[in-house]
Amino acid sequence: MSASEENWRLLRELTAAFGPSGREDEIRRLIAATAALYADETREDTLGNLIVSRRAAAAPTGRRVMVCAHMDEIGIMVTHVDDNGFMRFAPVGGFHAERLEGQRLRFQSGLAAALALQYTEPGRDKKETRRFYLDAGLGAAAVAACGVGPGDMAVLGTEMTETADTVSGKALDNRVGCFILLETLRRVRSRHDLYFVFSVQEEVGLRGAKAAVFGLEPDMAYIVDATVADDIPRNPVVTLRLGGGPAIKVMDRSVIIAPERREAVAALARDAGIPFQWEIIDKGGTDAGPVHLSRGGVATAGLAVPTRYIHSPAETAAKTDILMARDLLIRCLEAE
Amino acid sequence: MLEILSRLDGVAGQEKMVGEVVAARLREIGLRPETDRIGNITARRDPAGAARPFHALLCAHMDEVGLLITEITAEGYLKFSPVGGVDPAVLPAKRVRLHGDLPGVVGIKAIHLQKAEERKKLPETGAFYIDIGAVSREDAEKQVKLGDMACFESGWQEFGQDLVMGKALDDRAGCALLLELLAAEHPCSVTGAFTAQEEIGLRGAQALAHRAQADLVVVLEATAALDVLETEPEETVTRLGQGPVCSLMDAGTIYPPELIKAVTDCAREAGIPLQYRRGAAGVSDAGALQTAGAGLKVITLSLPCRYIHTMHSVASRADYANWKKLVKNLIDRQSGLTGFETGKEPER
Repeated sequence: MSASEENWRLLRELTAAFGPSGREDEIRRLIAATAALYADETREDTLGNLIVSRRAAAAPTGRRVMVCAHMDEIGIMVTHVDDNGFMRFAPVGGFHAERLEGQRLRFQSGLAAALALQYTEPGRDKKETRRFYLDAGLGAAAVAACGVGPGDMAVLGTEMTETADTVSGKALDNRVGCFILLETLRRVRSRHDLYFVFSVQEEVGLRGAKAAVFGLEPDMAYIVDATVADDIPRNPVVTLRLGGGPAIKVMDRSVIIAPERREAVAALARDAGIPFQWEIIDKGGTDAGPVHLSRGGVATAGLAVPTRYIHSPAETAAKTDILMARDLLIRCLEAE
Repeated sequence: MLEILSRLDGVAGQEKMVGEVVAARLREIGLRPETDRIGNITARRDPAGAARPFHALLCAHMDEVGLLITEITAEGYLKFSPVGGVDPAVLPAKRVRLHGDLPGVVGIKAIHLQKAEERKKLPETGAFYIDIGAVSREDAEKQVKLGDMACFESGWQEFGQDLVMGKALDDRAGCALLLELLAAEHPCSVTGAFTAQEEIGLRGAQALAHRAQADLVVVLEATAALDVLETEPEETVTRLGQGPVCSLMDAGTIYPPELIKAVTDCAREAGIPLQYRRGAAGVSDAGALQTAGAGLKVITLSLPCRYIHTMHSVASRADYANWKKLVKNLIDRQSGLTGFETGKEPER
């Protein structure tokens, strides 16, 4: 199994694109342009979900299958700019300022700003989000002149790096899922009508997928996301590791996958000789939550790429896991 | 109208008294109010002439925070749980009212009986009780049942520069504005929704969401003005008298940038002062409506309000007047008309 240089360039572009929850226009444009070559139709719904449809190849089953990956990333929204140009903010999704002190953030315009902690009394003041601010090195007037003010968002500013085995950078959660969907779209030949959904606002509460699935009314759904790999030093019980193959979802806080659904995916993996791991996590939800509960219920399965340091500037995943997740997804869509 | 609505009792889950007044007013202005099973009231107004193919849904919640009776003690005192976000610190020695006319007062242990450590910390809700003057459990039970709700009793006061003070401005202010807007002509169809049970988790709006269809949803809320002592500038969220408030993001909703821009443009063109809600805490009915069906375009426009969720919320009449103008202009703009004259409003 190998991937051309070009594949990883696409992933790098996807992670670089700006797209915090609710401000997904840039990442949506990139995905739409990439998908256009292989899509029968590409449209955007009311909330901004991108829906790329691909009609069944020969011998259609008439079934509608939704494949969903969220395209939004965590970030911050500016709430206040003071007289010195220091910006206060609210987190967008799981952005933990206290863990990200000193990071460089980037606005959509390209303006960079440092995430810094205000003066704190040692031992007295806690490192709470409200004590952090962004410093773009500009005074209030210059910040305004850059078009930045309350309501504007910024994201982590790192670029993706690569080793022979891994990729690392911001927003692999869940541009890795977007990458897998795009790669699948390019290769898959399914007898089902496929709807590739690049959903919005997952990081703030699984909001986009809820509306998308209602509109699509699929017979079946696959959710592709990044999930926490815990193969870190001194962890006595590692549940998901890099390089162990894609994770097949069993449960998270938003969903319990029906046993026959996860077994169907596992059977396809075994047939193809694709190693896999079971994903059982007790925190965090995924788009699988609202999707499986839509209308009268939707048969839903989930695939995930184990990723270390999720919601950090150096989220790290194994290339083989990504490619095998893609191959497994293709098998799922081509089955039956 | 705001004074009338503010004086009504409608703790979340028991909005009937408010609903009756709202429905009566809707009939008075020639609309046909409909009530659903959770207690939301909706009424639609279609324009007299040719309508633009546009439907706006305006939403305000009728319920307020209050206290639910959970226990009647042997002495005839009433223990309670808060309904919605009630700061225990505002409760002691305050007047409350049950069933609209049964007076009571929130009691607490006298200061000389409090232990030293009790004096240092703020009391918790569990330390309080409501005294309705009953002499025994039997006496109290004749007047009150478990599950009854107590409402703040605080009257209505106008003061300062055009300010009003009263309970439940969150969100009777939205209800009052919505009634005014429904009495006016609009170039498109407008549905007003007076929702139930917002304060305990947008529950009325969730039921409404199942049948909500609109090109634009505007949630009319009252929001915290924290321009009070010992608050840093970045923590004020909004300021009284600085105009209506456009939400950017809260715990339930990220508002679409194109609607934030539309609101901003509306305000600028009409010379209406506007402030952004500079805080991301709290939720509004928008949270339930944005993801309704295949998704709706939602914005929340609010009246700044000091001491929200207490017996004495304070709001500015000037802010209210500008709020009304802003919402009207937004409906007009979004439904497609250009050159709307902001100065001309129909008689009501």
